[in-house]
Amino acid sequence: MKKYLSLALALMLVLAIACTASAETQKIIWWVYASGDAPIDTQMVVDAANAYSAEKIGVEVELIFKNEEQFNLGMSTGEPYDMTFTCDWANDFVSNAYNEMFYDITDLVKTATPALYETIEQKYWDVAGSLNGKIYAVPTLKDMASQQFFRLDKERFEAIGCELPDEMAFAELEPLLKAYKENYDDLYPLMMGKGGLTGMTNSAQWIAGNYLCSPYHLAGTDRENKIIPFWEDEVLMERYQLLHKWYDLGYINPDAATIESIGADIRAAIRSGSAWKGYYAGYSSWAGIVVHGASYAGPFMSTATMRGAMNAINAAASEEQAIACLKYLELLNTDRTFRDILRYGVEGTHFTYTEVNGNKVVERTEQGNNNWSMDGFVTGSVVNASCTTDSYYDWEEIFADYENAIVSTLGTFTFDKTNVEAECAACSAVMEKYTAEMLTGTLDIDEKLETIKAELIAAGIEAVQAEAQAQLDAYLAGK
Amino acid sequence: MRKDNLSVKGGECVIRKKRKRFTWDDLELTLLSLPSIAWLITFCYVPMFGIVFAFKNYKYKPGKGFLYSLFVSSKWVGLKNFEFLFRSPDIANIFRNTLGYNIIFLLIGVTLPVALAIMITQLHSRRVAKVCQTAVFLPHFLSWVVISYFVFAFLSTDKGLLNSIITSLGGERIFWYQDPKYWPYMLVFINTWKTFGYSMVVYMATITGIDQSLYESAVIDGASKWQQTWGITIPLLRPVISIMFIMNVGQIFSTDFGLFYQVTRDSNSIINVTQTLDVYVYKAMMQSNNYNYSSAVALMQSVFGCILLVIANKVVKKIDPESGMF
Repeated sequence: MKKYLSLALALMLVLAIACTASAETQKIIWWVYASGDAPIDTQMVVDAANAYSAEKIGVEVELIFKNEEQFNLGMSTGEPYDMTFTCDWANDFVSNAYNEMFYDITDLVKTATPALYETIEQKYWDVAGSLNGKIYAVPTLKDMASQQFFRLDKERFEAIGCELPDEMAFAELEPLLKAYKENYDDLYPLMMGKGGLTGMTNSAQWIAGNYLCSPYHLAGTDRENKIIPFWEDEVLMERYQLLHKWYDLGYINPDAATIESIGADIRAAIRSGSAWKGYYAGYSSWAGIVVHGASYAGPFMSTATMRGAMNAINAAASEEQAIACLKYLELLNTDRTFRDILRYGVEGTHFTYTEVNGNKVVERTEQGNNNWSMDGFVTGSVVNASCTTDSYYDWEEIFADYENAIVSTLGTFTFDKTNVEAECAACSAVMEKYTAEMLTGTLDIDEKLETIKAELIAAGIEAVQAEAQAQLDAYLAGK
Repeated sequence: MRKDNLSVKGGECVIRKKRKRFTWDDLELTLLSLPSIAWLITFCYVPMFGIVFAFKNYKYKPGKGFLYSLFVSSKWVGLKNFEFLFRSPDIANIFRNTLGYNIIFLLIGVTLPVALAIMITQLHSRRVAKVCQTAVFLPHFLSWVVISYFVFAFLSTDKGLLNSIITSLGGERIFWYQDPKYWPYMLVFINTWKTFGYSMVVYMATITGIDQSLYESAVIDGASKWQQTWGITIPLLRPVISIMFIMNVGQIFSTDFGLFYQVTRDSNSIINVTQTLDVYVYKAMMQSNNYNYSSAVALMQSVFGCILLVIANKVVKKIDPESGMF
């Protein structure tokens, strides 16, 4: 008996080796973004995804979640990776592409993965994924413009007889604040943390830190294509002034500038966010109350908004590895079943497919909500993933709408800070001191502006502005 | 150790030449110190090559590895990395805070723990002495992040303990995190509360080691407690005090990031009294992710600290030749 057993075991061993040898799969390391820890069920989902992708394209992935600082550290110490998340706001695309950290995929993407190249519109390759005419990253299809919304507590506002518009000006928030304060006098209507109203400053394209910008609303005026300090942007300044007024009126929580954020556990009457038309459901399910979205700015489109999420390949990767990465992205962008695994998890465990109004949609389970939950753009295209039962979007319509967006006149211009790096660091440090106070209205901008100006000038903002303007002029002249 | 090398001849101290021969005892001690030496080399000397960061414009070269990128492919920029620090309009303020707080911490750190150590050793009840010692030592083991939450529980504008007391007594609540005038006192208090237990234990250990017969003979001569303290305890504590003092002087350009950043909850309204070198560098680097600048500042802190340490040692030795560190 023993003999047979050992024989059987030996046979199995041989078979196992033979199996792995025959199904040679390529393994790639993929860094993705996580604001906190990796989701609990990462291994389970990655195993399921690997089984699928190994069969389809012979590529397996090792998924590593990193936050903003970990990206920076990993990139500058040479930690091994094949493909990484990169964008405008974390693991900065522009500086990495400048320093040739990323693989030049200009030709490779067309020859190795033509289907991927076709799926993504030409303008997103040209504006988002490129630098100086070379393609360094594959844009992730998601909301490509930036539109700002107030997220209003529908039930409470309607209970006090307020009418909630679909579009409103920033200043029109005041009557709502007033009514809310009068009726619910123990609450602050405009609760915020030190980040202020999310997306509020997105009405300008930021060229350097949060001190030099090119406001979208100046397009078409004689001040277009001028890079200006933030205090010359009337729209932004008006918002800062209003916030301070509201702060003084007791509409904003007094400790706003010192607390991190207002979590979902606090029922805030008004929040702000960048989203797209119809995204109310997402806000509602996050907050656990019915949220009405009222757009107050946008949609704006620029390199910054289009570079909201992308994936780039390590410049040190071999061509074989680079092709594997592109194949993987191609599968993610073209195969909905595969995309749904990485987006929603394992079918049956994390989600199930159902049908709503004739559309196949995803219903997430509790395990899916708790153990495999992240922003849609993290593991690939949002557009190619199925919609969920509580939020259905017609992406084609949303993308078609982008034809009407306010587009930045700066084109693909990107500011190379190399010559003014010390000045930029010093200016950032000055802004660090005031940003939270400005965003929360704690600070009286009219009173403090002269001080801030003087400090920024001492730190060298004029040199940065001159350098940026010179680069922009040269870019526009060459266009 | 020193006792063995000293002998009194005709009222004069003569230091005997140390024996050169390496004995069995020495070997044992050397072996005992091996792990520490290994630790010191691995974590203090090997990473020291990182100093070149301060003089380079470090750019990682894909596929070439970290060391190649640092030493070969990155360009030398001389002292350019130090420029950034002095561009800040706040630089005078930053230095004032860094040095000011450290000098206050230094003075308190030398006097208060000594006084308390002496007081505790004078307690008759061993139990009370132990309880006091543990209570004072405990905060040493808490991290600054934990402490920042303790402090927040007291100072939170909305629901903090202090403001609840103030409002229930009919007062107007105070925006603690927005008013700079409280923070110099608060920071000194919190830092003292957290750190003095540790140095107190060091002093207490030395006091326990003092030969009891000295006190006995002093008592026979009719010395009061006060006279015993000034005549015996303090002079015998002096070498330890000097060493603790000199070591702290070496740290005078560095501040505890946890205290100045975490405990103050990074509140910008009070930054004029809380911004120290470390906080400034951290905040600037969070924005620009430039390791060269932070290395430059760290190097500067160490160099100035080292110079001050040597000077302090010289000064202490001038005053009391036996008390220097080296």
